[in-house]
Amino acid sequence: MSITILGIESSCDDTSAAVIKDGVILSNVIANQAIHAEYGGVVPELASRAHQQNIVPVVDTAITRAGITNSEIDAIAFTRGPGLLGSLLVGTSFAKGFALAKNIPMVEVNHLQGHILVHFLKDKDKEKKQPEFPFLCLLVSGGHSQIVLVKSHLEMKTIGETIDDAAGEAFDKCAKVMGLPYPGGPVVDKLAKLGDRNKFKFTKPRVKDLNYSFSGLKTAFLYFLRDELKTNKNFIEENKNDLCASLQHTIVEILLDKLKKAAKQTGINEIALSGGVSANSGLRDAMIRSSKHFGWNVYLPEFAYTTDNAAMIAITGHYKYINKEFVGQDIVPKARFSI
Amino acid sequence: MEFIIDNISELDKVSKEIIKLTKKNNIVVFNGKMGAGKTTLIKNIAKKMGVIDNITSPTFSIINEYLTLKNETIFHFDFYRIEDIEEALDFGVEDYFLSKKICLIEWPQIIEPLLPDSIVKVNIDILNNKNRKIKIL
Repeated sequence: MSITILGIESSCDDTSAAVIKDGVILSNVIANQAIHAEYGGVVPELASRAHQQNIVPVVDTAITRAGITNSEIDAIAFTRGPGLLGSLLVGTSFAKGFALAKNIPMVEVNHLQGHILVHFLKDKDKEKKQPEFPFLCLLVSGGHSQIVLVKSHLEMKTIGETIDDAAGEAFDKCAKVMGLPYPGGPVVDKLAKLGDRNKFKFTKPRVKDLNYSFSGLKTAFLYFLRDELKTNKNFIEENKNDLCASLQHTIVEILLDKLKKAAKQTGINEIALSGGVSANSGLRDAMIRSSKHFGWNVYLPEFAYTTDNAAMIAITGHYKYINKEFVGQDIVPKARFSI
Repeated sequence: MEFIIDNISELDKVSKEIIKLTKKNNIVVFNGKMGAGKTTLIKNIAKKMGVIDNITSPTFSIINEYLTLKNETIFHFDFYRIEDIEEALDFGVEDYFLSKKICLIEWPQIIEPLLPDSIVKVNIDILNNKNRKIKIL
């Protein structure tokens, strides 16, 4: 028997809905200008009110694009947390209403678990290799930097995480200091391709165990620029590409160092990458290099599924549906929700 | 009250003073340039208040919620990414402020009009790479 899941994601900035059938993506819609144009409105940023305005058109579009009817949906999966309470509440309330109206079960999903399970999403016409259990997942985004030991689809354990800033935040804030637009990660990545990554050296943090720290790098980068600007006010302009390349190289090295340590400690060589920063080409290249060097089997997510999306919520919902892990109408969102 | 800090371990005494003030005011705002040490100071304060969670920068998440050993909730805000006061109103920022729970706020400029009159202000000035001047108002 086939399983069709509608997934809803509203934990932070974007509202998204997706439909998957037996793990195959039928649609994955993220609120954007085009969808709003169809419904005659604009996209307000962030905020739960934006989610309220987005949710109905986004779900409607996802179901239409999937080419199914409401009655074919077996269960609705929604992000319960972590995230902004007001934003989560919109998705949770919508899921409750939908489940009640259609008389189908409801499945709660941890947003972080969703990011990791993108590796089990299937495309209609593309064969894709999936990681074998147990595997390690480096989950890196604007808000998270952690190494997760994945024992099964629903059994995961964080074995290392940032003690201050996330890797994505280091990209964004250092970019801002250089006068680059927000979000800075993609811009740094683009300019880094034109620069010399060994031109500038930044000290790497010394953090215990498998944990990360990026706050010190941000401060070091800031002081370095401030000192250089004293003698040459055009320093940033003249060295922008090399600065981006060196910064990116340092962040990637910090990420990889702990990942290598984790692989060595656990003896696991199935290694996956997830989250917004997994779109960074420097990080992807480094993962591929490591796969050759250390004999890792490396799994990189497709670009469409690196940032927040509902397909990852739907696939997590799929596995929970198989396990019959349903929740009732009394479910409330959880702002704090770790793996 | 003013402190000159030349070592991270000296943050303890600053935190102690701030925690004392939170008995009367639940909202504390932290002003200071990027890299001044706002998150570092808040980390120190939250740990001293018995927070059991990992305390990280909320720049991306906007609000982090922590739980203390006594089962009290502490909110850690960062409005760095917020461009419009409307956005903050939309996610119900006033509800958090009125909750009487401790609110530690980084980059508060954009939401200043929404703050009650009675709050604790902490200004962190970078004197040089190691030294900071911390003023509690």
